[in-house]
Amino acid sequence: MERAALLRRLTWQTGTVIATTVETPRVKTIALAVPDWPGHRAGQHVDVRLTAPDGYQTQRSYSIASAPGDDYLSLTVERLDDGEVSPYLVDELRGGDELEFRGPVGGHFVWDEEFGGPLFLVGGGSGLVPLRSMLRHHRAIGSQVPVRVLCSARSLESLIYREELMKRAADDLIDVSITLTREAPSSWRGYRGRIDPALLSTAGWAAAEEPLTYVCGPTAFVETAAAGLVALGYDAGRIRTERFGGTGV
Amino acid sequence: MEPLDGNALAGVMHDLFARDMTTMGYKCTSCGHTGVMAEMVVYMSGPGTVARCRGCETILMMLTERRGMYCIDMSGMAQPVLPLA
Ligand SMILES: Cc1cc2nc3c(=O)[nH]c(=O)nc-3n(C[C@H](O)[C@H](O)[C@H](O)COP(=O)(O)OP(=O)(O)OC[C@H]3O[C@@H](n4cnc5c(N)ncnc54)[C@H](O)[C@@H]3O)c2cc1C
Ligand SMILES: [Zn+2]
Repeated sequence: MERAALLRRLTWQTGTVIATTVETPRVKTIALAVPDWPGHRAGQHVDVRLTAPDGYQTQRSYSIASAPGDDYLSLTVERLDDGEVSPYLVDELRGGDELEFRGPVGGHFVWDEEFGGPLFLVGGGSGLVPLRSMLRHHRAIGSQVPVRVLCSARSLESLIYREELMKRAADDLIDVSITLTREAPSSWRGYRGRIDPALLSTAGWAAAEEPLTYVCGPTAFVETAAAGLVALGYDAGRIRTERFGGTGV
Repeated sequence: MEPLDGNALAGVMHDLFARDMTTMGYKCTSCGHTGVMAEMVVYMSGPGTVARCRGCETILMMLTERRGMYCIDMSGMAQPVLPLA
């Protein structure tokens, strides 16, 4: 294709912060009221744009944590201490504030019910955000697709959506596995350590069941998980990945 | 810096092409690898973005922004295939 100069076609819009919820000491969920929200597909994200008083602008992508049918558009943001954008979103943003963004965008890392299953959702750290939208959507539409979820977090305290995951695990269709990579309570009965093919094979589906897999999280986590799944014989064409940057969980 | 993938380009590409481009199929001119834009290896640094083939690291696409205008170079990408919008 040729070099071309092009004009913009996706507009920025503004949402109003309705509420913020503390997920962990470093992570908050921000619920936004958005006039004329066109709706989204589970797994999509938005680009958030901040403008400094001197006019300097910077933008970052954040996955949509809410289901398409939820009342508000929710984002869940993890604070990186040396980050430019995330400390503002986690520590400064308050109810009533406005936030500029564009979206929803992304047509690859999305789950629609007709894609079938069984589903395997693999999330590291904040990589659980778009997977939560998929899980909520699954419940909202009464999907009968069986789901296995594998979450990797540094510690139990740093696992986002903990209560919601536990509640969903009571559903016969949903199986939730958790691995803690840094520290675990002495009473911990879940998995420990980083994901590897052995854990993926225990927590996931047999390759012969032709699972549809979504892997999301820090880049190194996604590479490890995707390579592990392929080594287990999963069809690479049914593994969808999304990388957030940064290293492991 | 850890690379991202083509999902991170969804916003800017949608802005430029007025549709989702992450499901666009491509065939690498160097190694023949086929995939979709969402799977490319993407390095973003300020105004410049480079997307490489996941099979061989060849540069498939470069995107630069200057004063609100974008310049896009897809020289490494043979046969881009647009899915139905
Ligand atoms: C498609 C997509 C969806 C995303 N969804 C979410 C989401 O739902 N929730 C969320 O919290 N983040 C998400 N991210 C990551 C987010 O866009 C930002 O990269 C992140 O918030 C850091 O921005 P920052 O400005 O605070 O840090 P920066 O100033 O950009 O970076 C500060 C330092 O942290 C490093 N770094 C950058 N990104 C990460 C990372 N993800 N993990 C660890 N270190 C990193 C940088 O190399 C740098 O050294 C997503 C990214 C993409 C591409
Ligand atoms: Zn190649």
